[in-house]
Amino acid sequence: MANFGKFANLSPHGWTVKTQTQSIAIGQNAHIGLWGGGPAGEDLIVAPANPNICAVHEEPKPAGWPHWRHFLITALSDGETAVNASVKSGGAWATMTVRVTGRIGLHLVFFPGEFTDSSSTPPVVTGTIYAIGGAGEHIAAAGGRAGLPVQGVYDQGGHTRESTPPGQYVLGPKEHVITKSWPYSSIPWGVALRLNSDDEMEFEAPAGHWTVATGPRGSVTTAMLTFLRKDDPTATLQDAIDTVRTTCIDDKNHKLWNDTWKGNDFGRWGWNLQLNGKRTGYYVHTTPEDEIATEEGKAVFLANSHACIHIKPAERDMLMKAGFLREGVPFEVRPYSEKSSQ
Amino acid sequence: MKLSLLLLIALLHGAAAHAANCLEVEDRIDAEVARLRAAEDSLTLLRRIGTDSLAAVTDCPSSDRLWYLAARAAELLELPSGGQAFIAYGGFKTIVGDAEAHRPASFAIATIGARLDGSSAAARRALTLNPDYPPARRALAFALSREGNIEESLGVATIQRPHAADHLVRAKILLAGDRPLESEKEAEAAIKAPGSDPDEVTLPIELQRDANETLGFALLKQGQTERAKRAFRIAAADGSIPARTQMQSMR
Repeated sequence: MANFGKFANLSPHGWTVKTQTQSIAIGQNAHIGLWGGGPAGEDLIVAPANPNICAVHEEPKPAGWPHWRHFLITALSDGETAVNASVKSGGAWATMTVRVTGRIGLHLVFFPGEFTDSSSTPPVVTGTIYAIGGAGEHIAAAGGRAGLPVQGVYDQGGHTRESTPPGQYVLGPKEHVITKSWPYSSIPWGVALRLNSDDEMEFEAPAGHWTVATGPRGSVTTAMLTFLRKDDPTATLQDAIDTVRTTCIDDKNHKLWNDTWKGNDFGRWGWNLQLNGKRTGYYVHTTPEDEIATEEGKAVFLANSHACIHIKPAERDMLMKAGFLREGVPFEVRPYSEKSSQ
Repeated sequence: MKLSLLLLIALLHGAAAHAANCLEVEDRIDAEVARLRAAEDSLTLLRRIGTDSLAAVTDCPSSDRLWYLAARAAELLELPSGGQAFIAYGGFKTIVGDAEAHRPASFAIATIGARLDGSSAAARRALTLNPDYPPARRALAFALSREGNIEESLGVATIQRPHAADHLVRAKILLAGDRPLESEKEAEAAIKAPGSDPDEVTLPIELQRDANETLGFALLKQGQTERAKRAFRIAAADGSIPARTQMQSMR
């Protein structure tokens, strides 16, 4: 036996008990409780019949309210849908209606902690970016690992791994991300490469301007040396030269491994998550492996990032085409504690 | 006679071209291995290195390097992927078994096999193949400590210029030998010096996870519960099951 309702201090605003209907303005959230469970007392799966209208996430179990579970409903697009609490086989044990109304500018909401794959160690935690104000578009995404200390955990090269901080961000402009803090990201994605007369690799950025990347004065070598010395102050220039050269140049055949750069850690495009008008260290981006796998028609695997938000290249392209991935679009990151009940 | 000679020349030429192709494949995959040293998403890159190596050993079954990279990628991704990363190739144990069967004289592959086997006998076999290979020595030291031979294992694990991986092995041995204060110092040394291992393909997350797990237990044995909790929390977030279990029991 189960039923939807309001418990504790959940706001009754927009809730009609008689029709079991929750009205929500588009882009807003509402909280709802579910009392009870399935025939054997098991937890029911709570999900909207039409996931384009709203998304439903479970909040942590409420203390002091036995038999109640707490859900957050996020209104995505205009319309009406049933939200069912079902047993695994599919039968609904409780049903309510969500009615979404109104208009709103486009924005994106990322729930980073929806799904936990406990078969992997550490568990891979992935979520979904929901587009609000569109046609219910949503894409898979992976933020930083869940449960890391706020100050992060040291990784390598001066970088820490962090959980992606919740907050109300705004997307910066679409960019080929470049940063010297990740040596291979010091070259923009996709630029032309060539071997110069000294047998060193150069890249072209901006058009017509060539920069030496490898060798003792190469820009990637310099970035690599800084990266290596963060962990090992005795790291040598020769070590950096050798590492970068191996990555870029096929010495046996006196040619480059690739004639365009596909080693940038941020993939083809990235969008900075800006907070209060200022850039942060977090981006929405793909990875070079996923870009290449997509080009080759192979499977793409979302892995947890250092704190950025990883997305899949094909889904990025879809969301770009729909107009959501562009400068100025609000981007909300929700807490990891909000889970899918599916 | 003339025809046989021509056939032999053609075969030799074909074999040489094939070997050259295999060397080029090795170099191409090693270019990705070099990128692993500073890659933001090292897990996905490692999966690609493993997949490419496994695809390549079909044509290059005599390549020590490709078999090593396949086995090492499978070893490193076993936990992070829940054993699923290379399941299409039979999984970690099968891949290591295949690698050992094809390249029985490879000390690097034998070392992976020894870590999988866990016995000092297997580690000694790997070390015999190359007495100067640090990962084989570490495997032996760790196996000896698991078998209760703490002093002998500390002797094997003591070297002049220890890398972070050497500090970690010593930390584990000292913990097993009920010497938590020394274990704590070695674990902290491993955490502070996480530079990549010059002798093996590694993932920074693996070393950080194991070092923090060992540090947590070393601190717990000294009654430093709060510091232990912090170490366990980091190790658990990086996938340590013992750390996660310990944290749950401390609640």
